[in-house]
Amino acid sequence: MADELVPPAGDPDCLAAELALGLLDGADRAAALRLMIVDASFAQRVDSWRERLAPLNDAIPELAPPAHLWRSIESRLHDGPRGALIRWRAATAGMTALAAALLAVIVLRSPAPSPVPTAAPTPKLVAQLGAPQATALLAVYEDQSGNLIVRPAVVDAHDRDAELWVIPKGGRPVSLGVIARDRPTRVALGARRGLLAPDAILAVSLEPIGGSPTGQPTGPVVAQGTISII
Amino acid sequence: MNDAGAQDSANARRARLMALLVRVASRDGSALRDLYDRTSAKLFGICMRICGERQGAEDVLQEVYIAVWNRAAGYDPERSSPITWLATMARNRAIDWRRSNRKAEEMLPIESASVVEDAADSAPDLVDRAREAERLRACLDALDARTSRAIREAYYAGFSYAELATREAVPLGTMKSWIRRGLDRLRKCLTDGG
Repeated sequence: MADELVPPAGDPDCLAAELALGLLDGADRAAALRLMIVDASFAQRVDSWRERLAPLNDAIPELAPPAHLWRSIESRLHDGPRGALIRWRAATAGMTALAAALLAVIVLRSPAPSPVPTAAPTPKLVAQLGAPQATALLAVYEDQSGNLIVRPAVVDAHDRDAELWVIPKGGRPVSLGVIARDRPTRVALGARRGLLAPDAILAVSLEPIGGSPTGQPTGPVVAQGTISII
Repeated sequence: MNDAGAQDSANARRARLMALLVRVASRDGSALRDLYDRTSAKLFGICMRICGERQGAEDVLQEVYIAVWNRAAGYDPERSSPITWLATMARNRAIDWRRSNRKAEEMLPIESASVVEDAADSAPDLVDRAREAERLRACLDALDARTSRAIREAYYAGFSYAELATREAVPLGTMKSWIRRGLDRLRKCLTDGG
């Protein structure tokens, strides 16, 4: 019965499940963790298994850690190198905690230096979009495909569409298209990918169903922000 | 709360955690504190479950949030939800701790690893998550009892293949065959829409 076959030891999906479950030990575990770094498709299998198994976490009773633990963590926060993230911090300084809770976020990955995945962390472009109407959305730029994947996290626009714009420094808004309100939207940037410069602005406006009739934003801007390199 | 409202709330919760992670990546200590207040009880529960002792779990939890502080910029929302990313950090570090600190006689009794699966899902705003949990439970229950138990123990207590084989008093190869067959069936059950 095919259903009863034991997957062979080298089966990548099986290995991914074994890693996600925590079954591997010693050298096997180390090798699988290394494979995650160099093999994107394997990493994706591991992520899928982690999400599949994650509901098991819900059954683990929550337990408040002792109060002194936070102080220990806090005292260690500035031990490490702080690095280039400071620049981005400057861009977001002054935001209140309340405003931050309403932020939409854009995370953009810069082009990889080589087509071979490596262990080196890739620098990222990040923009936070201030969202006056508490619309939170998040987008990820895939450098290999040139796609911008926009994930609306909370969209409250029943009779209108949300349209994404990139505004080059000193230029007019260029539409990146209407984004779905209930699922991730892939925007193929094509020739427009050059517009995603660190000094550009990304914005989302509410438009009539189908998008702006004029090619320029006509409705209220519900989220916008500049991009910074971190 | 109706389903739509609950879903909004779950989405808002996810968005809030994502926004916090972005702020943590900018070295905003108050964002880390906020994230800690919202997630540390869940992660500490995971650490306690796997480490099996309080001091170890406290040490691991500290390391988890220091790692979040240093690695939040690497969080990729396309790859995992923020809470799964955090829970995975906690699980991995707790398992590493356990692998290097465990003593054979200190293993959790079987009951402690299997009882929790019946605990009620108490998060009222996670309707989809509750459905996923129900589905996963049904698919695990569809496996034969010893395989289902071994998979749950591996997840909840961090047991390795070798430890599971010792506990069940079967050869290592036998345990691997049980679990690999079980995982294959589990994946089919979860992805076939049945």
